[in-house]
Amino acid sequence: MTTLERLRDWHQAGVITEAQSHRLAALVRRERFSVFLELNAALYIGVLALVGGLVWTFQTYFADVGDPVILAAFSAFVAGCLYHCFTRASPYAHGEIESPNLTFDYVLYLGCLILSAELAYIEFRFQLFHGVWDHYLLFTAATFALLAYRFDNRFVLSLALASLAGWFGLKVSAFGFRSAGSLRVAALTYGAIVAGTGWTLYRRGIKPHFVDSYLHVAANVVLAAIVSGIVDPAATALYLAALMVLCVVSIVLGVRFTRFAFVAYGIVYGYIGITAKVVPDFRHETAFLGYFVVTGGLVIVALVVLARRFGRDE
Amino acid sequence: MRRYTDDQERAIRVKRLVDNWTRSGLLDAAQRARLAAGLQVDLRRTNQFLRLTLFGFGLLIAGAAVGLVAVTLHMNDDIAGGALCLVAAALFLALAETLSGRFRLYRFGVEEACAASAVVLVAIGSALIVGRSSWPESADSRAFVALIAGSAAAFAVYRRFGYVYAAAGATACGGLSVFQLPLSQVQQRLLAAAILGGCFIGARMKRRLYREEYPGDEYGMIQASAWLLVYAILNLHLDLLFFRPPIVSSFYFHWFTYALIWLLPAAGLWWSIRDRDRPLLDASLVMATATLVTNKLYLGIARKPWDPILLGLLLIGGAILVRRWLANGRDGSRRGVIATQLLRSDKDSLRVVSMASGATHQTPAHTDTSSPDPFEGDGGRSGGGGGGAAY
Repeated sequence: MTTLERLRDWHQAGVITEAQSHRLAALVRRERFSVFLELNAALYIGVLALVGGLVWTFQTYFADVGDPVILAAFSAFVAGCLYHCFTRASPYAHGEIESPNLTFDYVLYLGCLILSAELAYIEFRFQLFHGVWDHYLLFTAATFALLAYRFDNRFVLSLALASLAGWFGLKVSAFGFRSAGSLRVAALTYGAIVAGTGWTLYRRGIKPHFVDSYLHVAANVVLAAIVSGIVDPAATALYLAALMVLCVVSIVLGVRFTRFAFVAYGIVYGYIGITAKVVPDFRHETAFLGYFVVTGGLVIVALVVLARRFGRDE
Repeated sequence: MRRYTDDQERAIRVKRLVDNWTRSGLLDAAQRARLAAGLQVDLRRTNQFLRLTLFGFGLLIAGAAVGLVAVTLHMNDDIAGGALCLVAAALFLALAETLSGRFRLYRFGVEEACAASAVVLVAIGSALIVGRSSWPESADSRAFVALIAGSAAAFAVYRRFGYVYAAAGATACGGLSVFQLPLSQVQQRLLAAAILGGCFIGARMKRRLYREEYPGDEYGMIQASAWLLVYAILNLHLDLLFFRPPIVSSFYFHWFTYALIWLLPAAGLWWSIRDRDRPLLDASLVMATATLVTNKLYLGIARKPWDPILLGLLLIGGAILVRRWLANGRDGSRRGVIATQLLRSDKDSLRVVSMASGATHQTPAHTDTSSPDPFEGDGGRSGGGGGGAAY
């Protein structure tokens, strides 16, 4: 039975109204065909190409063009983008706000990327942030976060989280702690702050739809940092215990809130962590390969049970 | 021939549509519940994340199991190794049959891993058994056999289980196998393009027959992948794809392919808009972008730092013009094509892209802040476009 035949049957059975039947049939027959995603993809790639080209051009020709012209061009771009956004945006609201038009989100994204490039250029040419480079990253992270919340823009939120990650990294090196262990501590702190901030804002109802972005970043950073601790021979066994606890938490909460990406994170990072701890002790190929057959089989059995009990929906 | 019946496949697809319509506000929850009750199928499914995880672990076990047998039985020569691969392929295929038949698994990951492992093992096993023949040095008989056997096995898996990626893999292997033959590079490309073009025409005829209804959606994907591969083979400056230097071709072949890299995306765009064919539309847009990127290389003009600016402006300007043109049509559309989102799934896809965009913003490496040039060395600092490796 085709989809159109089903729609007709549902209408005759009174499950859907005539108006719904017509509307859905038009969708099935593709009488209305949206190119919304394709236009968004063109805008996104276009913005990245434009900013990349600007950076490349100014990098190549800064001696010929001159700093004032380059900085004026960057500043004009940023000011223009921000003016466009502030004059056309809907008033702020805690909930999700639809963009006023297709290009709006990308204009803001373009402005933020160019602001990053401008600050980087200033540092490249004048070393104004010499010794306080990390403060620049914190400033951009805060600015991008504010703009992301003001204009409800996930692209800019991702930019803010990436800049904040940079600030954490540079903060450690500025104090001279350059070992892998200190980087792990920074990554764990960053992950905890990102997850805590996302969760707090979610609980307070401030752009609650952003919470997934926070949690995905935090989960990956924290779990990857702990796995790197397990791989590092100088690290303590506490990392393995911490990984187990966090993986279980990730799986349990993922199942509870039907966010199965976190279930996958818990399983994959947990498996990599245990494998990294166990496999180096194997002396024979047979034991090495047998390990993967046995443990992989156990994981599959556990996953099948989990999928049958909780993860049925597509 | 098919493991799952047409009714099952159609019911699953309609259920997906009903869910999407409900999330888009076109149906209410009560209606969804009534409709979903009539769309139940006796198959076990799971969500995409668990499916992917199961698929990954399935491949891991398959590879480790074959390796374990090979090591335990000391199979060191090619014939024994090849025979082991072929026997293992048969066993994995039987396991996939059991899991999808007796246990009623549908796109569950683990049965897909078994079928995919069987395809890879058939390719490896065949290549090992055939060995090196007396082909010229420029050709690789072993790779040719692997690709042909892999293509046939992947196509068989598609016909049995309906995995579209297996069909796309079969198409790709079939086309790329020509590059292992003792032919000139021009002949190789022409023959590969002809094979893939044949796949495209075959899939297109089937797709036009069924349109969006199952299995028309599958043929649409196969058609788009074949079209993309034809383009990739005929664009002489996409050689990075094949990890080899650009070919030295004749004057006529060079300009023949130059004409084609403009004509193929244009034709694809025309057909896809006319037929409302999204996979072909997306493939054609990728091809059009690749044509813009490689145009200067074709013309022998030196690339300039402002080329990406022009590309960016072209993409942004093109998107804005298309949106305005569509919006100014009657009811905000041109022959039914609209620029606004129709369904919630459009927005969901965009949300995933925006979250994933964080991966393109490289976080800073832990460089010494006393460095005179903070842009030297480790890549972007504070955003995808915010300063490159060496600003």
